Amino acid sequence: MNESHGKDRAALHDEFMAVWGNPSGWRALTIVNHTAIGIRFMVTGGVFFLIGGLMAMLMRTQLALPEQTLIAPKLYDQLFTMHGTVMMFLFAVPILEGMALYLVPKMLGARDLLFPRLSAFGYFCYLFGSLILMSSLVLGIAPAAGWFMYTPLSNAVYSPGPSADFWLLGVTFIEISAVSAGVELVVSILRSRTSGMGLLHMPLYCWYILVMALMIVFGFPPLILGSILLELERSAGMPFFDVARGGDSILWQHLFWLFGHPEVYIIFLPAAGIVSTLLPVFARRSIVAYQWIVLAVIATGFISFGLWVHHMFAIGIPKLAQAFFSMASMLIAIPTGIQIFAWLATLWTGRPVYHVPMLWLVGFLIIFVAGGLTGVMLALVPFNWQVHDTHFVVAHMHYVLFGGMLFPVIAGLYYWLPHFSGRMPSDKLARWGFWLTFIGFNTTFLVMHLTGLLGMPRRVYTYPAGLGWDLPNSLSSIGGFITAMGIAMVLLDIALHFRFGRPAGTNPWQADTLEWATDIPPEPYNFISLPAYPMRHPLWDQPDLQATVAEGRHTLPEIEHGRRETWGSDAVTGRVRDIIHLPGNSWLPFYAALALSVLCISLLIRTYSLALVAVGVSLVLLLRWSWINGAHPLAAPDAEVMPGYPPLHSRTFDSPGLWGMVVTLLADGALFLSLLFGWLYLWTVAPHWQVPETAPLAWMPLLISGALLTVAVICYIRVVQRLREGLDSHLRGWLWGISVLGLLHCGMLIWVWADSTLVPTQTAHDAVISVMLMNQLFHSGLAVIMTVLQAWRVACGYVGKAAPYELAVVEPWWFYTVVIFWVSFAAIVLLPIAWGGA
Amino acid sequence: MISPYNPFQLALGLAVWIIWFALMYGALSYACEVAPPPAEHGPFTWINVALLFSTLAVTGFLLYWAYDCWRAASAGDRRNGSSHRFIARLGMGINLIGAIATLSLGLMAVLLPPCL
Amino acid sequence: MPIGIIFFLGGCSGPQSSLDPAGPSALAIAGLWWGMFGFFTLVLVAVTALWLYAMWRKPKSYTEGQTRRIYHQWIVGGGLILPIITIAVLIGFGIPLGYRMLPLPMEEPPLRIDVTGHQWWWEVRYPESGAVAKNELHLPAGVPVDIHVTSSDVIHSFWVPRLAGKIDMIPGHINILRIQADAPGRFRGQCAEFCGKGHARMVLAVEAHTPEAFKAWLEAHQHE
Repeated sequence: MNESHGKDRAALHDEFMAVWGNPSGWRALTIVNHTAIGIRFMVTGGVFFLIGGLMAMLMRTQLALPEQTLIAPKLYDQLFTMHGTVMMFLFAVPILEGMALYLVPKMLGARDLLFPRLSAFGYFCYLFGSLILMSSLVLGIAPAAGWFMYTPLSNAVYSPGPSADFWLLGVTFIEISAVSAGVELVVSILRSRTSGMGLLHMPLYCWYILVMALMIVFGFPPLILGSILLELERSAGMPFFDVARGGDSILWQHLFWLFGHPEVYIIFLPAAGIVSTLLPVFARRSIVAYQWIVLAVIATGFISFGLWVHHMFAIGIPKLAQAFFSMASMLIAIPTGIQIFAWLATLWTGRPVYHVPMLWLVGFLIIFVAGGLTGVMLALVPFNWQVHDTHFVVAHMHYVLFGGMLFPVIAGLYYWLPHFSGRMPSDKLARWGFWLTFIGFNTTFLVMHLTGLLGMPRRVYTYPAGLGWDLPNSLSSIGGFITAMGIAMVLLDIALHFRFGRPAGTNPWQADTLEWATDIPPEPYNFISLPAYPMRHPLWDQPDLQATVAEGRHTLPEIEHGRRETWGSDAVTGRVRDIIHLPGNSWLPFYAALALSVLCISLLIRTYSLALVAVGVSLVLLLRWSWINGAHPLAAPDAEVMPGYPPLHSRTFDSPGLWGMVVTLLADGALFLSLLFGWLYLWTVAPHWQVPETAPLAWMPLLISGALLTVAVICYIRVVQRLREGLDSHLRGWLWGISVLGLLHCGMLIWVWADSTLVPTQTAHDAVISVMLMNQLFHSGLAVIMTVLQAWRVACGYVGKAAPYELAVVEPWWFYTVVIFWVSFAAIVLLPIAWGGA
Repeated sequence: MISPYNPFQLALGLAVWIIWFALMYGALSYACEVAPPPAEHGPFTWINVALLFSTLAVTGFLLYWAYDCWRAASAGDRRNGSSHRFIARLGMGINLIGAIATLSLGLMAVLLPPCL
Repeated sequence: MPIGIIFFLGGCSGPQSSLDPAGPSALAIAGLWWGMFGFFTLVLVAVTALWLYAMWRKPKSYTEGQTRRIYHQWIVGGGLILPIITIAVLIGFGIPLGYRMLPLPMEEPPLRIDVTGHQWWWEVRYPESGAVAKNELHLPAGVPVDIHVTSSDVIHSFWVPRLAGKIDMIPGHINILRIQADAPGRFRGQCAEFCGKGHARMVLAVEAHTPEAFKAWLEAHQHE
């Protein structure tokens, strides 16, 4: 595998570009390559950062002096709502995801992410969702109930008109993008590392991203569910959060913060990953305590799911429960401390050199440690009662997010700038940018702690003079404008460097990770040949790696077959198991996202006939997408591999598609668990919870429906089992049979529902049951559709003994469907019986 | 029992912790809803005793698993040497952190009455 | 340093300042704040100084074993022992302190005042005497008072920083906050949970009276 390929670099490059090249003009919308998509995410996120920053400047102008009337209260409410929303959903998460999408395959020695069309789809969902959300601001009907959207303030009574719908639908749309990026990153990190790169060799950045991506998978669904429920309450009158009809507004807070707190660490972890990547490079030694850091990252990921209630200490829950969350919130200081002291020890034992990114890292450390310490203060319940919802929290949060996220991101931006552009930034402008931002930031937010302690609540559009808040507010506003100048300086520097920066050459920082072994700037295929390198610091061990990679002297340099290929490796050891062939450019992601945005807009303007059409079109597009897969001639024209090579993934049972399905189902399961939590929560806590006298659903037909589903699933599992044994006789017949069973089950379920006494607009009890039934029908229906398609593909010859993987991909879906059926059954039918009909 | 070399060790200890936490929080809310002990009893109620008991049980399990991983990590495995040892060592850390987290949360039940 | 200067400039007093406590709960929390502020400033300065020193000192060569020993010391010391001790101390102080602020059962039940939040005003009722007030809360000084809060529309939050921490006013739920003013005086309260357009103007005037003056006030307002 290591012999010289006999061709020169230019010829190899041309051959690879014929397969991997990006089209230009309108067809650029078809690009699925991770480098292009990653840059789009980052640039779009950057633009939204500026918009969010502008809103902050407007608010700071209004608050600079007491009793100002520059901005009316209504507009001010829109501004702070949108500032928070834009910064969290439109800037922080997307830009970090974009960075990860760009970097991860390169660091892993892969040619692309494993679901390239999904990356493109995610980007367009994000773009369209953001545009829909921002259009509300232009139209003057922006959401104004705060980025946390607490009910009842955000319900149809107290927020009439479409403003809150913009938030709920737009943000949900953007979250689809985040979850798809999450799934994609998890699977790519686990399954596409280059030959021999075990988990223990993986660059730390990828560990951080792995944990972040898994956190997205578990953390976003609660909010997606919450948004769906609130939108159903607003538009269909289903009273999940309405106390009078058996709901409870606190349920929204739980769902929101179940997402909201992990979100903070979803933003912090990738940024900390940047620190762990840059610091060793500039300390000129490998990171110390690799395992400690991995441990700390995993622990942070988990613990961050156990402290959401610390945003709700003032709602009056028992002190003991508060103490649990208080303790858990403080525990997070341990993994954070481990990371900080590991970084410190790396510097201590290294030979640090000074470049601009280091400046931003120092800024990060000071600001983030300060923010972390005020975080520990806030975790202490009595103190929290006093400063919760004051400017103290505003200050704390900006220390954590601005210091913990923006500073490392700018450090990373400077560090990878030569990788994006091939040129170096200017030292002088960069220093101005840093110092202005650092000083401006601290002027704004250090003082703001005091403003909060002096009693100034958050989210007030003005304040009277004479409460001691005048001077600190003026100082904060001045600091805000200095920060803006600093950011402008950074932008200027970046803009100028494209023209005046000196060429970077190869590996300008003498870094150790594989992304610097690509061309600079990188070509769409990343690597001509994939370095098989089971070490943590490939470029330190082999400084000429970039040249040998480009000469095709490492693994998998063949391209004559015209397939986009990368290694599929074992999740733990990194040993090669199969060759993953990736789909090429496609219009489908763009069209599918477009159809979904039509759906989103039609829901906003409540034109449900159009919404139905949009659902149909999206479904057709997505199914077409799934059609061009595996052994389809457009996906893999030629299944031949070189002798001695492992098989193509579509010829195995253990494909990335299966992994993607399982990770997607984890997200789906998190959504279902949130729904179940909502059901149990309302049952125990809602003040006016009402249970009907008689059971709303006929349990016998429900049981039969479940039995049909169970038989279908058992048959399906049996089919896949037989296929594994190499038997594919009557495959099509079996699949048709299973589809018919599934269809019967759906029919029964619909009948039970139609026959029930449910009035979902009357009580929260009936509303939750209706949502569970909807959820079940969605899963069962999709299972049937996918199975029918599989039967059809068997007939076309795309699925069978030779290419079995798709059947294995659908299997977990069936399994999940039957599990949620019986859990829902237990929750709806058995729980009330056990409760004694109370 | 799950092998100390199984990659799920990287999540097990803390997953057990978070599940225990969620169940305990749910059970506490439920217990306080249906049978709240009188506030005069302070922290000496059946709810606190049950919480403490579950805390000690889960902590014990996690500590045992941590010990199991530690033994496996120091013994090593010839076939898959470094990868396996890496997992076992991290698994020990995760189980240990899970145990610390469980214990430190559960000890709150000594300090406070359950439903106030 | 800069924060010290700012404190000097701004001062800590003010009609709504949590650093100018006038009741036992607020006093305890203010004490907690000053303690944490002092200790955490020390931690911040120490970590920053270490970091800067590590960057600017003359680099030394370390063997593999020395490096390992150094980072184990750092991580165990700074990443484990320091946070664990800090947490233990904070919890040890904070939990009992918070416990004492709770509306614990008392020999003689304290005066009860019902406060209901509306967009954007406060309805104050004295169930025992039937007195009613709007946007002003009168209470006797020197004795604990239980404020029972709820809301008629959206979520608000009852907060008089000089007396105690805040508690949310949630439709359908009743929360109890125990407050006490040590001496007669006027304080300012303000809604702390965003409640819509008028949130910034939802202010509560609080006045603590001597017991006799309070009794007189109650009688004067009984038949409104």
